Amino acid sequence: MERPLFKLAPRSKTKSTPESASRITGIKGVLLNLENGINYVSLFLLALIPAVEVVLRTFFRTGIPDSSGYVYHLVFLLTFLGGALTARENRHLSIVAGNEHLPERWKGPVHIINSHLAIAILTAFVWSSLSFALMAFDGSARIGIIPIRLFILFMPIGFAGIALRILWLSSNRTVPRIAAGLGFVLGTLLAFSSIYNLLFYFYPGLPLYFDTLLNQWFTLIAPVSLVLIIVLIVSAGLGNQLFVVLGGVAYLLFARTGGALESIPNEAYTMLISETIPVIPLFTLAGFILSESKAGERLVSLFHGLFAWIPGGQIVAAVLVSTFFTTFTGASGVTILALGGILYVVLHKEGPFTEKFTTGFLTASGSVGFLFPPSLTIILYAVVARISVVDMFIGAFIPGVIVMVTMMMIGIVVAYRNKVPTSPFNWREVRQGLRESIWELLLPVFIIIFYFAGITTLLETASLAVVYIAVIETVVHHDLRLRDLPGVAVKAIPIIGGVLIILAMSRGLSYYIIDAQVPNVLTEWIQQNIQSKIIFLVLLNIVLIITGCFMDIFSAIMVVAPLVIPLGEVFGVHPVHLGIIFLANLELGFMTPPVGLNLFLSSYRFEKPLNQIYTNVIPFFVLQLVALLVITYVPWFTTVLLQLFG
Amino acid sequence: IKLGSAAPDNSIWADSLKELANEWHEISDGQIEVKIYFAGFKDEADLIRKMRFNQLQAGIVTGFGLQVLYPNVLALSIPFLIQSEDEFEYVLDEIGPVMAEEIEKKGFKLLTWAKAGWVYFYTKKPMVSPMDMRQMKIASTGSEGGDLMNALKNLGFHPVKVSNEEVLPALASGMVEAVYATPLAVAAMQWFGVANNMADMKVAPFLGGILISDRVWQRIPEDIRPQLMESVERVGNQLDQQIGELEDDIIEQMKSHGLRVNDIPPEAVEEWKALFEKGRQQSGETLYSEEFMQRLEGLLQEYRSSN
Ligand code: NA
Ligand code: NA
Repeated sequence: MERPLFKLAPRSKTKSTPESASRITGIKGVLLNLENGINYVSLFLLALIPAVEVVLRTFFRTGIPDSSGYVYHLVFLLTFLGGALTARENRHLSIVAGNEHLPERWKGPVHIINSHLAIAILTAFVWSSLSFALMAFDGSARIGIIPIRLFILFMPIGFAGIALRILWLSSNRTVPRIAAGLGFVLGTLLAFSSIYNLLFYFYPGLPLYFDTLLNQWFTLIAPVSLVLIIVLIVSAGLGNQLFVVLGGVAYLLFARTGGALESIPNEAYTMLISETIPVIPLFTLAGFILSESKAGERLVSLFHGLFAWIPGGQIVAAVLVSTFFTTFTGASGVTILALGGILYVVLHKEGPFTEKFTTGFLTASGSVGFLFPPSLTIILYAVVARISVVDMFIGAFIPGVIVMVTMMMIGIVVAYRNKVPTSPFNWREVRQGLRESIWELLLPVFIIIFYFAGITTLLETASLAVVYIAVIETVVHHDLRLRDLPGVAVKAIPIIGGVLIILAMSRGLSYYIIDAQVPNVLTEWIQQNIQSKIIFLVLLNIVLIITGCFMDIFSAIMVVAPLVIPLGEVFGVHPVHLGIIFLANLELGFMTPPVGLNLFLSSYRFEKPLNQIYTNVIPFFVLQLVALLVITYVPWFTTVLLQLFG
Repeated sequence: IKLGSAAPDNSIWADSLKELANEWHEISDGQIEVKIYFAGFKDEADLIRKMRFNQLQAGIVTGFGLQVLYPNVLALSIPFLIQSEDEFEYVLDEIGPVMAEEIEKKGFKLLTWAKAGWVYFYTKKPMVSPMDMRQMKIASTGSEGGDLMNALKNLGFHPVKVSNEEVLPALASGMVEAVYATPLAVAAMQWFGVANNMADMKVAPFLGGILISDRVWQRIPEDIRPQLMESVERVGNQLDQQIGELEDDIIEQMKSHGLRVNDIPPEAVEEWKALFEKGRQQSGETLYSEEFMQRLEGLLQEYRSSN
């Protein structure tokens, strides 16, 4: 039985065929091979360095000097070079896929306008990230032996690469292409203050004339950027790329208020240089290796044997697996990346559920599990709120179960209603399935042992998972050959670049909100105008849902939680209960647009446009919302165990 | 002026900063408005970057931020080099202006130094001698550069690199069993919940300071600058006096939440000091300049021989 579990994304019909490096010769071929090569080598090193570090530490009590510095900066490099590769394959996410819903004669012009805007914003990013590289870092600052500035340089290179590719794909005819290309001019004008900084860096004796020019630019940019912000938001609805819109709006907001334009690249850098972000590319890669092998088929047959006798049994299994992964990785959507493909087959292709249900369900269950120990989010919240981590874990247990059971019930109910046939428990099938997929099943076991026994960090665990899976699928199962691995990696890179670049560029927006001190104003208002605890909780739910639309859970913990906590005290909300409300609320943020990690990951994994994913996830969002309300307004669920064990 | 603060909101430091903002507003007849940001940067390196490209114009930072501009700052926090408050004060008086000058070369005016407390060891199991510590894996958060980590390795300890946010889960799982940090940091990060033994032995002092970007400082009218400096220095002194109180306070608070403070007998303290002294002499190339280290050690000898 030979069938591919995955096709790579079907390229949108309106777009030109992607360039495959192997088929193109000459200079262009060399450059494309170079691009693939750098990306591949970076991902390869990213996967290996932490694993090597573990070996060196465990057996030789030594390590690679500054290894985590290298790892973080490799992720940075992959984001922007990978992003350029994503553009090459025309696979950056937009809210709606292309502009198919428009009348035929509008399509061409709208596409040109979108391209023009995107090129302008990307050009502005090129200038501001160049200026960021020079201003924010010393020439002497190094990661290991490599100057930091060299790493940063890949940001403008990546942006320029994306802009050129958008130009290339804008039109086949000269005049429209020139119109799109004029975006380079607009972008340069938008970036004048960064260009001024660059000039000043190289010629400190800049004539005074430039200062006058800069002042004029500041007065002019305020109204211009307001118009552009509106245009950009509209263009998002017409198929413009999401990371351009999010980054562009933040950029223009800073320009409007006289802020430093370098803030956008800096927020991207700050977001990407972290211990948790590298987990995303690593689990993506592990997921791709799994899905390119026949592991999926093996697991499907095992799951069939194990759960087919319960109506909706597959759903129960899927929720358990998903919860498990989120809980110990603390990273939402890991399941979508690593197991989304297999679960899709189990639930939809081999199972009784519709595609709409399956994609919606998997998107929503991607973040179930944040409330169980040892989830990083709980620990972080406890740290910020200065309450006991153990109390948080105890208090979160029942609410966590409520969210989990809600998701399971959906599956069972749907299965009952559709009279999904069950089959008797088949011991032979289970035994054979176990024997065949024992190596893949051991992966989570190893992960638990390594992580919980304190042998490895999360990042190292992810790296070991990649190495382990690569060895299993090549050496043990012979599903893949060693020389297939670069090909698998190159397939994963556009997705890695696409997801990371959205995360990176959306950070600017949340920083703008902090810089404008919006949260402080909000809390002051609440303190002055609200007296009732119930109204406070209602408002809290609403505000946190809105927060979750724009901010990821980690930023929200760092920024919003410190403002909410004193308010909770004023209204007499138990501190642990407040924490659970906070986290459960922001768990929903993973599936709310415009910034919702699970949505992005699903869109890539299941090859569906974002707006379709939005629609599919709505019923599950509503159910989890109900669970949230139960958790919020019945504090007993949080406090009962605390009274017993706290 | 936007000022980013690495000190948390709701601390006595925050109050002093707000006082400073008001004074500057008055001195400048309303020309200078200082907005204080307690959030909006991930760490002190981020805060420094934001000052460099002028998104923030001033900042209150500790050694972690200062070392980005001038790595030698952290040489003052080498374990058991500076051993008492008086020594710290003596050294800072002498060498502070030199360090401020170096920081100025990077485009930052150092308005005042501020003490950030003393570093102690916190462990899961009680620890007295270096021998005890050798049995434990020590969390090294890396913000202080690879130097200290190498030094610890050479002395037979087992440092493990973990990020700041991972220290707590790492302590819980046993991946690390000890940390070193100031009481303020340990309380803020809740590390003492797991590493609930504190060795009552000052390991090293930690330094902070208030910075303003030079570009902005130069734009302030020259005639009011001395008044502004005076105001900062007063607040700086106030902070220095408060830090001791604050530290005692926090240790008391942690004690009421289960922290045990263990006495270290004098002979064990001597053992620690001798060990690190030996380590310093053996260590080859470090982040800190040789000239600076000589100056520093010279000052300490000077002080110790005259007292
Ligand atoms: Na999950
Ligand atoms: Na969201």
